[in-house]
Amino acid sequence: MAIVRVENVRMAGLASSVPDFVRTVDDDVERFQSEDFRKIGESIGVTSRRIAPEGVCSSDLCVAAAEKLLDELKWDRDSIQAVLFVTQTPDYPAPATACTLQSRLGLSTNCAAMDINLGCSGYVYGLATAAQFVRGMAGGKENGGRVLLLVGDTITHFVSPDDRATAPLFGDAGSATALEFSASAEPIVFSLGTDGRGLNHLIVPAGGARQPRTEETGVRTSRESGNIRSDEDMYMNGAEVFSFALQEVPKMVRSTLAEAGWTIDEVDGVVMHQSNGIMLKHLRKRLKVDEENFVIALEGYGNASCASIPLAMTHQWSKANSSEKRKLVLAGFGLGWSWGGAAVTCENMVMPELVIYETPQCQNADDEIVSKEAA
Amino acid sequence: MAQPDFCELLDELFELDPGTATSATVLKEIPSWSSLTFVGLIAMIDEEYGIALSPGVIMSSETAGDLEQKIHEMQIADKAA
Repeated sequence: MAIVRVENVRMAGLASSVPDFVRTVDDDVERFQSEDFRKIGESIGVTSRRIAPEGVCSSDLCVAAAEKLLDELKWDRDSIQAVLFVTQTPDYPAPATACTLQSRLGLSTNCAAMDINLGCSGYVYGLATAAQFVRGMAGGKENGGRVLLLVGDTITHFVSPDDRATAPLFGDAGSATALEFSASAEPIVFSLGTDGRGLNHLIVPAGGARQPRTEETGVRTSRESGNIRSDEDMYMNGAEVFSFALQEVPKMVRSTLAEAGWTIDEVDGVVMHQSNGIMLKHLRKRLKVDEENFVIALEGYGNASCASIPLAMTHQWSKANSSEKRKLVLAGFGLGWSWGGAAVTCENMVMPELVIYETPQCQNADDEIVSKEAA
Repeated sequence: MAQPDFCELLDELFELDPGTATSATVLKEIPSWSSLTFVGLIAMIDEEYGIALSPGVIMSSETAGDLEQKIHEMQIADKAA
């Protein structure tokens, strides 16, 4: 695995946001005319999830999280020298959404901006990239260079509501993570890998240059097991994903621990990509992690793609004592296949409570599939 | 280490009455066979036998006996490696 080790960089803060629309297992039971969805929801650990209505972008969710975080951090926005945006649901095919985020967040023009296109592994890759930016820019100075890492997806926009493999599982979320130089920070260690042969098991086939959008690619038809979707929707072979995760995730976590010089017993929290409840419970047992140190934050959110790790961290620790020092192992894995583990020590992080993004009035959702959360 | 009884494990996983599954049981004809129990089956085999099976191996096994045979072959291959 590719090992990346970054000294003198700390995570200064983290905020996450979800849209104000909720879809529940009751909606699935009605849509699919099948009570099976109650049992499915229980098994996968998702009986309700957050859905971004059409017109709400992942960048909007990330901006909401970033505004909250920057307010609480009280950072001078001119001190931010790079903004990175990890997503598979950018605002436009071109240009990079990160450029729009520089101006939307009122950052200086002396600021690097770039998008990174990754899914379930994206938070760890974003962190690895952001940490190296900080290290490279700081030149050994406090306040030498700060980086804002925005990670979010409105992945449900790729999900056919009539595909039982994906519809009950996914949710939308955004996040913002602030990184800065710190002479006293423990090193952050990353362990990264890829196997492109997994391409066809988790994919949105059409809409890129390889298979451009046509009238036909947008037509939803009946596929395997009667699932209904188009080639512009996401296809997921859950069994293949699980088999891949079993083969790579335990190895990746062990490699991350070994490179950091940690044992699993001294880790205060393991935060994996929140794929689904069955997989997470199995991976926890397999890695022999105590239940109280293994974060599961699926219920109420769903699998939030690249934002699932920061969302789970907000869920777990935003109300906890921030001065407490925590050794965390983060583990992202999924489409690509792509995977990345991180060993990071968090201390005095600013972690605001979960931000609920309010959909502007003009962006009314399709009432049939989502219902606004009762206040 | 004693090998677990594969058919008993299948009864448990698929919520069948004890003694229902035999080595002649056709996997895809088990009433509660679904994409979810499929994933459960991969997890169970990993947990009980220490083998992360690819879904293709399960799909190409017609009966419980065929699958058990493949698991044992993989265990032997693992030990030899």
